[in-house]
Amino acid sequence: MKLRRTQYEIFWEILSFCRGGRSFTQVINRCDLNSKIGQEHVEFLLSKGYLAKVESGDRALLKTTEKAAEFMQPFERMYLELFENSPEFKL
Amino acid sequence: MTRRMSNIEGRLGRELWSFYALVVMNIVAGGVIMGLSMSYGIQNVIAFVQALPGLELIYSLPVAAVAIAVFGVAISWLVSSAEIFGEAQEIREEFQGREAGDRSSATSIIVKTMALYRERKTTIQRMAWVSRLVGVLLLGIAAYNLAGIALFGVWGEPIVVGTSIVMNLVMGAVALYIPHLFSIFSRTWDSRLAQGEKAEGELRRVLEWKA
Repeated sequence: MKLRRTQYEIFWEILSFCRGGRSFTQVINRCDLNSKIGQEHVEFLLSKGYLAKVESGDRALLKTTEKAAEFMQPFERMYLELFENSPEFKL
Repeated sequence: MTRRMSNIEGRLGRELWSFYALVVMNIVAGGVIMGLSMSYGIQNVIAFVQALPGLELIYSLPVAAVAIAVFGVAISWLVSSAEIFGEAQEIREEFQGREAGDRSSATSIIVKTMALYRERKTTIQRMAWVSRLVGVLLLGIAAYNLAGIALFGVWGEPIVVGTSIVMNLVMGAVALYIPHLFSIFSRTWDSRLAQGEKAEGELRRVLEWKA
């Protein structure tokens, strides 16, 4: 499902998906990104030290690092609060 | 699972169900209105073709024209509803298959729901307007029919004529009620998107990101 996400939401999705180590192709497929945009986001996260490249057999995987918690934790806290502190839509 | 997560997931589940029910209600209303307008259109086109010159002819033509217009609008309404239905269903399935109490699973569903609203906000607003317009048209047809009965008396089976007028009144009221529900939905999500934009400032600082 390709929907309108913010840059921060895409970063979080990539980091969340790469917890167990994923190939670049898996990342762009799962996060619905084209190769160029996917590359830019992954490069940024690598530069921040939130993603690391690891070797698994003959494959290069992207893996979320422990440092990523400094972005993921506030992100999750804020999004959960968005739901907690706003009026509820109920039929 | 913490009590906080349990509360958040409870709200998330109720909201996803409510939105899903609203979209289903839209599809049902769109389908019924499409069928109703088709039946009206055909009935009045036939009446128009068969009518001898006279007042019946003046009566049939506008009803047929409005019914055909409503039919066209109902098709676009159904298509938009069906698109949103598919996306809402996907998110709902993810919610049902989530790991209960897991922050990441709940966050992922919130992110997708926000993205769905951002993507479909214009369509939802358009659907609300279409629904409002259809409601007015259906109530207009019902009033027109009542005026026709007052002027020319009941033509055809009274039970059929009565049922069709009642159907128009009921569906017109439903079509006017749906936009009200959409506006509550939009208010809720607009407020979340606004809060989300504020949260972005904090995330930007975390990332030291310069757009």
